[in-house]
Amino acid sequence: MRTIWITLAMSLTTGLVLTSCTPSTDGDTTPTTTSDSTESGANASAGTMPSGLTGEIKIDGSSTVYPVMEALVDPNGEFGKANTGLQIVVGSSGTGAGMEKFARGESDIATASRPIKDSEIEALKAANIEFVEIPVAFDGLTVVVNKENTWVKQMTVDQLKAVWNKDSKIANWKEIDPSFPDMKLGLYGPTDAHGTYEFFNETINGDADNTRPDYQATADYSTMVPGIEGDKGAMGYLGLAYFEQNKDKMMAVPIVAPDGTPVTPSLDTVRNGTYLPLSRPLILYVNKKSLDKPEVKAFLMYVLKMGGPMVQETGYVPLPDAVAATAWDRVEKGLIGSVLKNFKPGDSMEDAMAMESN
Amino acid sequence: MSQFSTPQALAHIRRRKRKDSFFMVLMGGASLLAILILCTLLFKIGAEGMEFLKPNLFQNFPGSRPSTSGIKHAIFGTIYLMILTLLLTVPLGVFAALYLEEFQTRKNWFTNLINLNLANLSGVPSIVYGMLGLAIFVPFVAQLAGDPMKGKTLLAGSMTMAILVLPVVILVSQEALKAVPKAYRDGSLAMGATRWQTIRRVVLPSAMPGILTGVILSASRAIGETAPLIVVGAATLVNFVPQGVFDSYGVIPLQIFDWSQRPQEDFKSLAASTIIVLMTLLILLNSAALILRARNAKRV
Repeated sequence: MRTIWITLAMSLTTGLVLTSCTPSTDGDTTPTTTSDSTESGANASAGTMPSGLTGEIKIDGSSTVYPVMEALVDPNGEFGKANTGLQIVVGSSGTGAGMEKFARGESDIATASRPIKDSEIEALKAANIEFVEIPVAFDGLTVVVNKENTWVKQMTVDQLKAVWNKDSKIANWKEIDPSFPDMKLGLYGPTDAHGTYEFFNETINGDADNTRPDYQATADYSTMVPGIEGDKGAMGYLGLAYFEQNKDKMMAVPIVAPDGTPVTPSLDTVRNGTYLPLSRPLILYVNKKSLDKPEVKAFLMYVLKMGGPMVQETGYVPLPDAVAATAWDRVEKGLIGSVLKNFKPGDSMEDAMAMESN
Repeated sequence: MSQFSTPQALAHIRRRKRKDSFFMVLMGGASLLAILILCTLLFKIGAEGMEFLKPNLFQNFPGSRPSTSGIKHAIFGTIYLMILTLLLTVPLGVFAALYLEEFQTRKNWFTNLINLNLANLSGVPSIVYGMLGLAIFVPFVAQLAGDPMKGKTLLAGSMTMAILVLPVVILVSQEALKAVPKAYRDGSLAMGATRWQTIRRVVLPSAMPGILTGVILSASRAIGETAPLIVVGAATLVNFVPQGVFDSYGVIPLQIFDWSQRPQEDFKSLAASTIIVLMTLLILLNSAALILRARNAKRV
């Protein structure tokens, strides 16, 4: 018997041995980046990197915002190394699901790739949860086609609507424009779990669930990319960040803006507001009660004042400084309610942030 | 010339032999295919995963840069989850098996019903247990902790995993108990020992290797499961090692799932490295089970 127990104990501890070469608690790994943080503190005129934070921050919501949050809280990045005692959990269950959790008090921050809905505001009211709303980045929704597509030079919103609306029967490029070749049209897009889906349908087709049902719906973008890559007649839509990371595999279609000029989606055109109407803010909804926790407030300060480079690295578009400053104002004053609910592509985010909420 | 060497008979024999060798090749091919697939998988993962199989992988938490990302949280999360799961399952499973094998020795409709249920439960898809965990354990744990944010934590995950592997643990323990010769029990009872004394001093010790084998195998199943844990809240971006049962956690397979669907190639390589870690862990556990079984076989 004894030997059996020893065998068992050995096999169980082998797993531990795998990791035993590493320090087992976070406390051991004191940050060695003191020089780094002071340096960047000097660079970032806006503020100093918070350090030594403790406690816990729970974040959940949009999978579009997830890469942004991941870059911001990166435990191996500057903020992460300066705050090893701070426990952060980030989920990516989708904007809608994240809002539900937020309304159940299961998270401090809900991330969203679209402004909050009236029904969600009602749910929060019923749960007695007040929230502060701040943008964290911009995203440009990108319409993409196969690399070998030589005929599409630009598309209008009307053309997109003709293809994607729920009654559409268009199955061939020729039907979009007679000058296009006779080529079977392959359609790719995200499933309805994605904020990207809702945003595209609202902007192009008029409401969130107006879409043709017979497109290739993928739950995650990495399965969509090979689909578009392998289908010469493909057309799909996804977030700018995902496009930026797969630039070599597909091609973005310039979209004709309301003023008549075709604009290619890029960091610049989204930031300067010329890529319309398919650009949108990515938003954080913060539980007002959580703002009492110093770690949450310090984290938001870091996000708004120092987060720009991290946002940019993920392929999204950082907030202009003025917008970030007004957004930080909202946090400091604890201004509750949604001002972005009625935000339209092309509106001034800075003005929106300065607004009293309703 | 006997009747067995007529041209017709010889042709018949040849035909039969051909059939024989045809099926041998077919069956050999089938088993070879399985090995081939495994080798291809191992080779591909090995080639892809070597790049990131560095100390960073074990020392760091996951982040946005593949080069500095690690699975420290997931390694601890997986081990803690496994230990907690076993702590919950083993007593329950062994007691249930003891009841069914030692106390309810006469088969009646009740034990039949339980046995039928167990057999069915062990085949239920794991995501179903995830839903059960979400509906029952997550709110329960949140209540226990007195904080809605503490529901989807290590304890809820372990409870879900525990009921997932419980049927298997019971079934395996039952088999182990059945393998104990009846003469052992009779001998002990004849000496005046009570049933409980018999179980504790005679039956359990000789059934233990079999039970342990089952327990280890179910532990390795629990380690590889992802679906139910996604439902009950294992997270992919965790920057700490859980310090208690009410802490959030991540597990290795979920990290693999998350990284493998990233658009960046480097994250896919990172997923491959993580697969190597997971496979090593599983192979260690399964070999422990094999060793135990071999010892057991020798002794009986």
